[in-house]
Amino acid sequence: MSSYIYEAIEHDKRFPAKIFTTSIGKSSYHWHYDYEMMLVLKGSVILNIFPESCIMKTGDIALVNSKTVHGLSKTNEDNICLFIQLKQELFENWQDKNQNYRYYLNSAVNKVEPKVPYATFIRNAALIGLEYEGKHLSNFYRIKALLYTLIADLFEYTHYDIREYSDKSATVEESDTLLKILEYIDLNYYSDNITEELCSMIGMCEKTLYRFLKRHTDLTVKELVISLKIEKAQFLLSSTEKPINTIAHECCFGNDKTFYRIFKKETGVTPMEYRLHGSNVEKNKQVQGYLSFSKNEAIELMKRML
Amino acid sequence: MKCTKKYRIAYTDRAKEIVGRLTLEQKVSLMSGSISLNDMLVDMQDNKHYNYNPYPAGGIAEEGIQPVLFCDGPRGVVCGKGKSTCYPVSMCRGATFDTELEERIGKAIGREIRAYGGNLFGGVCINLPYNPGWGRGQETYGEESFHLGQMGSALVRGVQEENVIACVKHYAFNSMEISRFKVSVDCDKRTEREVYLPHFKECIDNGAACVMSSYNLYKGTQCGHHDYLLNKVLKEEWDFDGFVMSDFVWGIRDTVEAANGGQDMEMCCTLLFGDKLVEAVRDGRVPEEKIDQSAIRIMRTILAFTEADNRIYDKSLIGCKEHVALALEAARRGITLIQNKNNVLPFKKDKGSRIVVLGKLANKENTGDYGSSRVYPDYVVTPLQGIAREASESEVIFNDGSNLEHAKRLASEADCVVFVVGYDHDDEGEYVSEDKSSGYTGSIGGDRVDSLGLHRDEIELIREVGPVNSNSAAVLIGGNMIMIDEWKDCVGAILMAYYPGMEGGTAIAEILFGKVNPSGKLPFVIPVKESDLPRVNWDTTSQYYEYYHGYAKLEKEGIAPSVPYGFGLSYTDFKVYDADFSVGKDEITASCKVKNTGSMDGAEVIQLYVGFSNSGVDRPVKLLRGFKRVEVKAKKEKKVTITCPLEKLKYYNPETEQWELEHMEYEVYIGTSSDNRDLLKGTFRI
Repeated sequence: MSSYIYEAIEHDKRFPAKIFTTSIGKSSYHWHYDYEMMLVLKGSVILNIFPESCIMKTGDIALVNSKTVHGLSKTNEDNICLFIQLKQELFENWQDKNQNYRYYLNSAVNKVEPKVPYATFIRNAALIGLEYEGKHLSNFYRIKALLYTLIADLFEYTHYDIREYSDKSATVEESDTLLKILEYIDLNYYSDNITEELCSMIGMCEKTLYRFLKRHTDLTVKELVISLKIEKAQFLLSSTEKPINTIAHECCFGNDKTFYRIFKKETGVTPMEYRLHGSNVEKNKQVQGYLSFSKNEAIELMKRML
Repeated sequence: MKCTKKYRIAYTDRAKEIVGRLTLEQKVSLMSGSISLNDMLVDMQDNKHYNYNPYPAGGIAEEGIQPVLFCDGPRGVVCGKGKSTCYPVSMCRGATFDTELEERIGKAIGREIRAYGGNLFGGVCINLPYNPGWGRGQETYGEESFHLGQMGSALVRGVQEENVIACVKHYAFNSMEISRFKVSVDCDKRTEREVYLPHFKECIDNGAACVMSSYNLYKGTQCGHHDYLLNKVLKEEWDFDGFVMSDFVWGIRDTVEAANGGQDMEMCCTLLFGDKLVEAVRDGRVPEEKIDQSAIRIMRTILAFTEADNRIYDKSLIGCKEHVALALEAARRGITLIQNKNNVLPFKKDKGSRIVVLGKLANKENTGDYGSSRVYPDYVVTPLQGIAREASESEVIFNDGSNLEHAKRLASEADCVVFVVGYDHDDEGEYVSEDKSSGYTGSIGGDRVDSLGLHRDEIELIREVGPVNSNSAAVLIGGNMIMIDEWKDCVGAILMAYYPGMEGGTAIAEILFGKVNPSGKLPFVIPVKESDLPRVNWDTTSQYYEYYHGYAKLEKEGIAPSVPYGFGLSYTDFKVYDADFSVGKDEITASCKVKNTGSMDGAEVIQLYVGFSNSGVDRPVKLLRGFKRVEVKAKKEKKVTITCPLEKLKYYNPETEQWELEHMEYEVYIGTSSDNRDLLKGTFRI
């Protein structure tokens, strides 16, 4: 199982975006170059963007910025979500090619409020989702127009930061470095000297590595290792019947006590509770099994959001 | 300079001879611009702009007489698109107090004009802003007449070195923008002679061959028709040998009054001269003698300059590497450090450090107004780009600062914070009219009628976010004085960057991070309150200019400024000592030693002031009468000597209509700003 994956997104051949509706079970921590707009059409999902996680309910919309490590997991409710993955090239500024943009758009957290109601973004996203279901040439052109409208809205109606590079073309290498680091942690999370090993592998001092990871993922090596271990533990808890102390050992938590403490801190529930109920919003409800969603239902839900 | 006044006068006989065989129509044709209003408008609509090509005037092909080919400035050469070198605005260059540098800029501008096929530079703007709210303050060098004269003359010498005619503007009293077409300025005789005209005379004495009359009126008469200003003062008293041209389109209002009032050339279209002027001569309303005089002036000047050399100036000179380097050098020397609490500057740029840049102007190509001085370079380095390049191993994050909570969060997580605040072309600059269709540049601009401070949201940004991170600097963008007292305590350092030109972002960053040691000095005073400055009614038909303005007014009234005239900090320390003052037959000489006691190489502008406390008439406490920029290596010292002709110590006696030297004891000061605490004092007796 590889959790910190770099996800290579296959875009639609007709336009620089990938549009789909799906029901989320669990999407482990990953990152990609694309900007990802997500709209919850039904139920709720947990969106983790370190160091924060939030529950996105029906009608919530969020933009996950390019190269941001994030993960998704279901709650006890069924969910249907719309995803619009936007290629970085769409955000290229022809006047200054050395800029990257980080937009603040998340209706569940609402930390930096946009300049218009979230409804503006919700409506546009739903329109894109609906047009995507059409088969006519007009749908194709409409999608292109709506995608650009979405980007214009991000520039005009959200607060955003610009990361200005001295020479962005020279920083492609930086992203490759990130990928290498994440892969290394994924494969060597159990090592006691992982930070030192990483430093010698990448050729950075500890402080630089810290800064580098903070910049790209907002996480430290330690945090990355812990969340990776937790994720592995969650997988083993829910998909196997291995005893908890075995899982604690397999996931390199040292002893049961540490495992229990860290697991509870990170997930809010004990390993046993997790095994019984999953990590739920409303813990008293019965965990519902995974249901394949109906496309027609998604379309009806998107229509309601217009 | 080859085309000195003496050299030009030598062309008089030939000019007379040619003019003698011209018809009245031909002579009059020399006296106005030959582009039509429609041509100008077509240029503007055709993806070009005002003055895209040099504007022609006069010229007689059959006699081999070339037309005047006008190119505007002063920020560079206005012609072309995506090509010319865009220098810092004059105000930033004024802050260098570096006449040698300004002369080099003049030469570079002259070379680009030649490469465009032009032969006249209309960008020596030396108007004295009575109040710094003047919208076009960025086009001039500062508030001080002596300094204006020195800087303007340097530009004249440089431009004319390349055998391009330098045109000095706007003569005179043109320091209000919104009302420029209707305001009549009035003042008393001493104010006229001692405050508003000496810098024009200085440029004429340095050989300027052309003068542009202003739009406004003086004592009720259109400056473009002004017999007193044009004929009596300029041509007779000052013995000006060149020619006068009107400001464009609305610079003269009446054919007869203009021609009789001493106007030699209507620019840049033929509206009131041409046939109308021929008719006025035939009717006897304008003596033909007047036409002959103007024709000879124009002919003599154009012959002298166009025959001075056969050099070919290749188009590759336009925006060439050397000229762009000069633009950068001017920005490095002009940008002025006016506050540096606890030496927060220079900032460190360690690998991986986080630099947060706030304020929308950081991400804007902003070289000044969109009026007739707008230059169109190949590129402009924004402050944000400059910072990202200079601190290439740091993480540079920009936010416009419109959400204060978010800006605070960013600032709290940053190693250092840079606020970039101030103005752009919408806030100040050349203004034509509310009805944009009647304007020839399409500019908005205008005077700063509401406030001389930052925008409310910028003040709030600095006041709210500044205290979150003490490792902060405010970079001010603007063409003239910006009030700072409302927020200066909330930020560590303040850097006045003016409009620093196409390489301005580079220079700002180099100074912020210590690659370049700042050496600019404020060419204006920053008061604590706007009411400390002269009051101006910006939208009016009449305005009185009092004798006192700027630092001289504050000092006379005993009002302490927020930042004194001539002030600017460095990253090193200078000690000025061993001052010596002496009086010769024609001049006073002041000298001192300047020691760089710090550990960084730097430059200091040594200033000479003369005090008039023993005067029998009302005179300023002291006035700038000399300056010299010196570069001193760390731990080294230099001796600086500045002289000032006694002529420059005189006052104008309106009773006798003479300049008079008072026989009394004068105070004399030498040092690093106009603040007495930065000056060594002595006395001398005449």
